[in-house]
Amino acid sequence: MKRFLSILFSVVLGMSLFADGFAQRSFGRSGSFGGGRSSFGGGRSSFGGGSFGGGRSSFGGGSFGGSTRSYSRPSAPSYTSPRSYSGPRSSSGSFNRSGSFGNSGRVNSTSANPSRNYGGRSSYRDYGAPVYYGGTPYYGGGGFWSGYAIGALSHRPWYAYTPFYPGFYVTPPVYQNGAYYGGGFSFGRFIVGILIIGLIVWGISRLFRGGGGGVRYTNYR
Amino acid sequence: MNYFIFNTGGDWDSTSLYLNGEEFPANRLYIRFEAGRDYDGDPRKGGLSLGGEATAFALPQQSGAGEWALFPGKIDLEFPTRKVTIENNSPNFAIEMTRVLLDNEDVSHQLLDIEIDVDAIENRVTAYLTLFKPHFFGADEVATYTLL
Repeated sequence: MKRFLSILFSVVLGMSLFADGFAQRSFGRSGSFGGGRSSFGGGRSSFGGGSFGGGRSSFGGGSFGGSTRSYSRPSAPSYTSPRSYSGPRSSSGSFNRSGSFGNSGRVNSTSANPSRNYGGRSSYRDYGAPVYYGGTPYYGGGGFWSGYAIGALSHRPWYAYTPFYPGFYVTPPVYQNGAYYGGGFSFGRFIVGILIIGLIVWGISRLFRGGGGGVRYTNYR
Repeated sequence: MNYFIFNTGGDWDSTSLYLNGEEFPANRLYIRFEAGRDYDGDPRKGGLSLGGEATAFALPQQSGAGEWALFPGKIDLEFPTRKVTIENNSPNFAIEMTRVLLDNEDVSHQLLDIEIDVDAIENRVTAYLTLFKPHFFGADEVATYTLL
């Protein structure tokens, strides 16, 4: 029984330590869309459809010395310019949408598990973007324990104070400068939980202890 | 009310028995208590309060005299290293009303067995006391005190 409980706690602790690994999934968005091309369309165009001056022209018909000279203007070089614009756009782009990506990123959450935040940097695990609890930001770093930590701020049920609930092993975050910081897994509470569960197991074993076991015989003179 | 005092130094010459201050010549002194066990015979916390069986008498040296009941009454048993006092003043000898002191410490709720058999005819002496000491942490203890 004691061995089974110790193995169970080792598994739970191991999962908590590696919980970050499960959360580090990125949707692969690196800030740019479409492979980093900065221009749209990507084609080239020429203006005027031709060279300046068109073809050849000759002047006069007379002669200065009797020979006919023809002059031809060199064709003006053609100009190509990319279709990229500097400065503010006037059109809505290829996707018929204007503005920055995504929504504002502000999500009000009062539950123990915060909503996913896709604002700004839209990654699942975001150390920078806060989770909002009742309008107040919470910088918990995400992960398995941060959800229980912010849940500790609200009214907790009775079983949250027993070592059989994961939220027992977290400390609530601290309110400072208008935001919540810290909180999370507490090794002190973990040790207390082990002691309480060990005491319960020992007490149950005492109840089932028969008369033949656990008795030692001594002699005194 | 009988008040016996038994005293011994470890040999027959130093062994004496007094009743109410007067010497009581006797061939045998026998005391036996069995208590503090459940129906399976396993020791349990409670001692004499759990009930049990008891036999206690003194056999006078006077010929033809029968066994002299020790209780209701009190007897002090003084051994070389220990002192035991057994007292029961209930008229019908309710064993739960018996008080047993070991070196002036009440062990009535810990008593399992006590046997004191001083037989001058058979030249046999047996004296021991067994207590049950439950412990909160660790194994319970069955302690036997050898008096002689």
